[in-house]
Amino acid sequence: MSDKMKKTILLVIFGFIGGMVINCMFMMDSIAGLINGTGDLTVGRFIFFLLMGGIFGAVNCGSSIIYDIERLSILGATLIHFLIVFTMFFGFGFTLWGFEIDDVMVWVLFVCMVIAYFIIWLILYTTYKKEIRKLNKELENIKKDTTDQKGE
Amino acid sequence: MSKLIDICVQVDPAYGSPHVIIKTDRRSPLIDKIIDAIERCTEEEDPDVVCYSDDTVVFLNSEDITRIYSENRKIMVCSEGKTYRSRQTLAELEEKLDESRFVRISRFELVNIRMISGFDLSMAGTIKVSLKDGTETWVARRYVRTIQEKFMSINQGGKDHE
Repeated sequence: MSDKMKKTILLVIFGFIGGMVINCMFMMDSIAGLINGTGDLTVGRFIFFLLMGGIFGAVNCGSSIIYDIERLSILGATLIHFLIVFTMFFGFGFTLWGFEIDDVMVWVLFVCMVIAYFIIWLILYTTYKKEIRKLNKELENIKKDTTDQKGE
Repeated sequence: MSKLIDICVQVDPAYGSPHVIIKTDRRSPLIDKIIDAIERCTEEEDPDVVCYSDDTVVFLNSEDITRIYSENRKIMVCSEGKTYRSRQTLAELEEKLDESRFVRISRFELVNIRMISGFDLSMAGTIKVSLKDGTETWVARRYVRTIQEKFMSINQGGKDHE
């Protein structure tokens, strides 16, 4: 099994567990109701939502392996990851979670997602920009040393 | 002496280095073995890189090599505007060549550090390296840190030498 495959599997597992935990946090009230025997959440629905959260987390985390594909630029990888998460999130939202197209909150979520991914791209871009600057500086020093040696 | 091969040595002061011509009616595995044996002897004597242009064997001074890259499962060596093939793998060439002169920029490419003009990051986030002969190629993101460390160790080595 290649290193990339192993990393993908670890990311999927981590994402699955993380997704379930985060989903539980959002469902705290409903879980409390389930435990007390009040509210409309059943055990079956709880397990269903838990699994959905896990799958969402697994896909979200697992697909971040896309940044390891060297053929893709940072922008390309970010766009593809955004599309995967967007499709999954709004797919679940409109089919399972009752999203409606004229709901303002849906549009707010969309804008938040776009901003979040823009920030991800910006952080990665500025990090590599800084690294390239260091590389060019070190290269200048090497060239300077080579010129000095030739001068001698 | 084997009946398969006739070996004739002509000593001529006009030749500064040995000039080998193999006369045969057709290319065969035996001919390839003879060429390999000559290459091995040459590599032991001289660390220059043995390359091929069509059927001609060319010995390249590593200082003149701009970059070495893999393309369609072949190893290509660029030097002074021309491109040659090598029978060695990229890993073998990387091991053989002076590590202070060549740096791996991706899984498929080695570049002569002295031939690098500079690095640049595009808006899309791809890292471009420009070479002095006008060639542009791409650096894999995972190799950026390795390249940095190599440059720093070269500079540190220079300072230690002083």
